[in-house]
Amino acid sequence: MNITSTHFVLFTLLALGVYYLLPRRKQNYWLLSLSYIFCITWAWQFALILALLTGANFALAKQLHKDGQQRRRFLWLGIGLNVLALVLFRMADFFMPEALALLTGLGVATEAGGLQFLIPLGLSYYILEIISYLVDVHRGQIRATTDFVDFALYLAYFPKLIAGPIERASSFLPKLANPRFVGNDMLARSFTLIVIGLVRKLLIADILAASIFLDVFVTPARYTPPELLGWLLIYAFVLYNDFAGYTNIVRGVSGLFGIELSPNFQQPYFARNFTEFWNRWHITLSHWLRDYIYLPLARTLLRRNRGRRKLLNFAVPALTTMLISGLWHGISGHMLLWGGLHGLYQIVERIPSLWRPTVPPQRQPGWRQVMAATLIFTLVILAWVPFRMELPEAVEFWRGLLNWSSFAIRYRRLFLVVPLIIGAIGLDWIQYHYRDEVIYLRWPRLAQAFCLAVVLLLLFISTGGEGVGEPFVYQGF
Amino acid sequence: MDRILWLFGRGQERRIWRESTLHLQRPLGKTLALTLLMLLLLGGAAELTARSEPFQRLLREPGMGSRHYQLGRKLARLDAIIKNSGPIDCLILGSSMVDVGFDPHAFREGYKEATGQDIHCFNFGIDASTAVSAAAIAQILVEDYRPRILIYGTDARDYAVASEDNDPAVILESNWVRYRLGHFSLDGWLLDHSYFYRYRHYLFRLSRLYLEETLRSQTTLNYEITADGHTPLTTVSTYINDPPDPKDDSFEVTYTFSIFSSFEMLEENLDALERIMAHNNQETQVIITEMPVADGLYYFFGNGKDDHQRFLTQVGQLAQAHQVPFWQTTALDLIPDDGWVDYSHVNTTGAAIFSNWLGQQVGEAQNDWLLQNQTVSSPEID
Repeated sequence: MNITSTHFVLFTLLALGVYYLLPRRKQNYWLLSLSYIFCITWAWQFALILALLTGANFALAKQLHKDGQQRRRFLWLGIGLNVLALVLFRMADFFMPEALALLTGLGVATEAGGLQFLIPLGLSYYILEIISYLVDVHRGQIRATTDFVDFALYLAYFPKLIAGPIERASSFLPKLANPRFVGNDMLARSFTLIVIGLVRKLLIADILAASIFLDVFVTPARYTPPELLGWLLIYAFVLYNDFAGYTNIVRGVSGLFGIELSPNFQQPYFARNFTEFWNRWHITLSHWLRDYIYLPLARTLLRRNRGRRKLLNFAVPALTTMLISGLWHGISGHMLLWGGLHGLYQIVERIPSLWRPTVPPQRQPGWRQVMAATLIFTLVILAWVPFRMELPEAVEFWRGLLNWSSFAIRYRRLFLVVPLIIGAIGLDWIQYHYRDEVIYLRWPRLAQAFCLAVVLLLLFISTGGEGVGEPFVYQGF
Repeated sequence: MDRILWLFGRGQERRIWRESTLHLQRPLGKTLALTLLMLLLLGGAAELTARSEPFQRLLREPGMGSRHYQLGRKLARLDAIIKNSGPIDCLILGSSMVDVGFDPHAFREGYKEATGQDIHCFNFGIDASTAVSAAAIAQILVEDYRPRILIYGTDARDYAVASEDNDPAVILESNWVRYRLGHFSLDGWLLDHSYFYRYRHYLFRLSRLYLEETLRSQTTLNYEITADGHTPLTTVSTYINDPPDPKDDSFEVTYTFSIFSSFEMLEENLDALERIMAHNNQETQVIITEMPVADGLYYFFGNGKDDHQRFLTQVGQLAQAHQVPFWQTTALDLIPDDGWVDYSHVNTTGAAIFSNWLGQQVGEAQNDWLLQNQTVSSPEID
């Protein structure tokens, strides 16, 4: 069930109708049931895998309260089990043909696509939630929950199941344990988030995505450098608005249940350095990587090599973290290169800090901030090349960008989408300028109503009246 | 009564819903109400735009909820011709045989020759149509356009294909057609009443920058339809009197064999023919005409000409029962050898000859009917 479909709207309305009438405890049962139904609408195998991992990790977490060396063993057992599950399922693409051949050899009939359940819905996201939960319990930062329903709901909660946000048990479980309130403000905020999300997804990302020719990322040599640059720019806005749109929608939907989800984006393309970029892009993943990879590694290195100004002390954690981030996005060479590039960007950015203190970007003159944001944006979109395509094509794409033998732009669609990109930047700028993602709620009522009506009309047109958009890019991770 | 939602009001503190989770207070929903109002205004503006001529000139004709490429186009052409030249006098319905075989211009000439009067006709032949889908279209068109003459150009195939088959289904499953036949659906209602809604798919395609499939100026069509609904084909085939090659696996041969090798006239199609004939009344004169076919077509029938004759006899009997004229063309051998596109479709040469003949026939019949009506209603004779 796609979350931009009318089925999902009906599903949510039905869910809310019953939810508001139930006491808190039963609300959790209801939400858990709905979450598994939602999961089954994709494939029942997804629900089975989720249930198995939930049960195993719930039992493991209880063992982490025990004293002695056993705690550590159970922690590593838990991490190992979950990482193994993630790696195995993520590598399913590689061994799918072999698995099919083996089954056929054994005389087991399989339909084309019948093994697709090997890549379960939201696995990459809830595995990180499980690992953070196990580590936090082991560190003593939280107590292992004794409530299986709450724990299962923490992992399966349907608004965040497809592609996050990656929530921490320390903040999410208390929300499930306490009564929820939905007042006028919460309702207005949630609806606004949903509308902004739909605008980002259906009016910006889907339309921009449709403008990109299918072969651009397969045979980039067919296009001139300005065209390649145009496609890359469009892709950058597609990726951002698609994922940010998804996050807005699910946060809005969750808000209707009185459960706030963490934000994932804060105008990342306005970032003035890479540290800021990663605090604005896929925030819940970035923070997860920071807390469970970067900081433990940095602390270990600091203990071994005393002195903050040693290159190794920040280079190794930054590079390792970004390589792991790349692998999380896909076990492949091009994702590794994308992660490696971002690791490298962060190292180079921080080299000056070896001999002089760095000035925070907000304290720098305005022109430098603009220059810095432009540079960061340029480097980020160049890194999207290996993020989007396999290594040989990525190299060909970069080569094409540098080969300025022709300046021709042959496709008018590259010009036609310019107003949309300006609109997308405008949307971000308003949120950035007022430091409020739902600033629209402070507008006069008439302006709010007019904007909302225009958006609804445009949504009707942009979906052909069917109300279904393209699948989200990040639900594939 | 505490739970009754008082959406609008001044009292800020007054709770209108008090449950453990939902805590709603007045005022609530003012913005939503205002949005709905705005949406109505914007929707009205969009509807007016969609009805405007510049807008309709810009985009291709909307599809009326049918996957069939001709239904919407022909309806739009029909509306356009009425707008430009006034109400139409006659409509001709049928399958692709009518679509390519009926030339309204040649019909007009023939009619003029017979009566000395002008007639305004439109070709509403739809590719792959059968008697059932033609009856559905007839009901809608007669209701909307009240033609003086309704001609149904028919052939054996119209009775052999079941309504579940994709060919008629593509018309019959349109929510607009279903709505017009009395099966209510919101989609059908909106298609019938709103031009903006009809154009939504094109607007969607436009938003995806599919300019070539949306803008008229960017679209090259495989088959052009004239302003009066005719699809002229200029191909000339010479094989049409020969028996088909059994090894020929072309669509034309395999499809025609599949229809005619065990020819059967389905009851639902005969019922549909009767529904078409039932439109025959004081306002509308219904005429059934056999569409010409090449001699080679008889080789496809399991029982050759006998099967074809069975079709002619059965349609003739029904026509007689409904007091509707049924004009046969087989015996007339109207179409010359260079007048065929294939076994059952005529080209522009064939279409001109057939249509001129039909025009003369209708004209002569008109003269007779007028005479009859005058005789019947004349007070002197009474």
